[in-house]
Amino acid sequence: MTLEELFYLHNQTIFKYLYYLLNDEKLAEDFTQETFTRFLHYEKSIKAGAELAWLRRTARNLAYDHYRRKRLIQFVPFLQGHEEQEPISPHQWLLQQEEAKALYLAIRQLKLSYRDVIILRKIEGLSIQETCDVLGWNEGKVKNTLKRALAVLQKQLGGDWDD
Amino acid sequence: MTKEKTWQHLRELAPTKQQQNNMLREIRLSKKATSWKISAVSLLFIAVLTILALSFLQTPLDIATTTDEAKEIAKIYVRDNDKQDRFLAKASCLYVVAQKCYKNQDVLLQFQQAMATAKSPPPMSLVLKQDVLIVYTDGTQEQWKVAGRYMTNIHTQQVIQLEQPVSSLLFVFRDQMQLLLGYGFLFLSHFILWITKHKVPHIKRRAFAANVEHMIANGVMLLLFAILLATVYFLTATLHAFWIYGAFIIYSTMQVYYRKKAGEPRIYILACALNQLCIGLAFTILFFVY
Repeated sequence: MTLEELFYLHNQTIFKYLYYLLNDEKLAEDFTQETFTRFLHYEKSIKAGAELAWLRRTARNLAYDHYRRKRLIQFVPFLQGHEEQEPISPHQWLLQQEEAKALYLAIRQLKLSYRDVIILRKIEGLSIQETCDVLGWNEGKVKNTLKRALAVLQKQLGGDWDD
Repeated sequence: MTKEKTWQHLRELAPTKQQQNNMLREIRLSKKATSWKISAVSLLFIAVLTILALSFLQTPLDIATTTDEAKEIAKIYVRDNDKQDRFLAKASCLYVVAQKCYKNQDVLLQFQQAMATAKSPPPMSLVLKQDVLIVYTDGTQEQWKVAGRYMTNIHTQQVIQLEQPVSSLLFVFRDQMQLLLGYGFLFLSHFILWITKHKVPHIKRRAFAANVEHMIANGVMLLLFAILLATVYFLTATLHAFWIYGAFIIYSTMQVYYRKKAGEPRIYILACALNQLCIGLAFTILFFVY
């Protein structure tokens, strides 16, 4: 598979994951680019068929490194700058629906580990095992964290969110 | 709108076509720019270790060529050797195992005074256990065989009796600053790893190896180096610093290579290189500077 094919196949997945993890469209774009640049660099050492898992892990490492540098691992403030972007941007597209906007804003207020597991399980649609592989957690931890994350999410959404 | 549709809306998020094209263009550019590059960290690491190794392998050029009557001892090389018919000590401080190199001025002065005041003992049979090679400041050398307080010159067969055993005269007392510096580098190597682990907590479990491939490579390398050093020692009855530095440089370079290959954070690769450098410097100061 050529780089172009791989990029067009997976860039949406990686961008989406980074976007929800970082809450910043520009950063998500930069880190998606960096993830594929690194893939290009380490391409020979990556097994065929394991490309997406490698891309996800690298994207996650980049995001966590970013948070460590910014010392924002537990709390990410609301970024007003998002509201001023071009109407055609993915962010604006996302906020066009009121309920999706409320859900997105609730997710972004979750702590990082809750957000991570919600993105992978509910948005990416990964299985428990796949989530374990990406996060490096065991099955019990994934299930428990997801349960707690959904409970917090429901509380933030006013208690009427039945999922 | 149902809850599932709301989740679905979040799932459909995607970068615009323009964003995708921009990213792909930058990735292609980075490919062209980096295809020939060697990492600055690796380059610096290799350069520093190479200079370090070469500085020890070069031959000194300032050997005195004129004879000085008031000559002084410049260096003493002592080597354990039970073979009565062979003199094995070599005039080099780079033989690390089985030979010691003394350059400390206090030790040399003390040894010279002891030789000057030595007595001539009555004839006796001695079991000579050590080679002592003395190099004077004018470049001349003397080869002695030693047994406790007795020294026999292997060329003139002259025997002298010192007031104290040679081993006590050559008792190694090192410069406190050098000791501090040596152990300082050892401490620094640990401190670098500690601070890096604190900074990048997720690498805590990868101190020895970044992944299974790296672990196997480390195991194979350590085994090969052990076999290599043992073979050189058994063949030459000594171990030159070249072999130790060579093995250490290869091992250190491989650490950086495998960690880069495994995609370790840049800060940890840098810490790994600095850690190896500190260990190399500590070894140099503690084993080569007497």
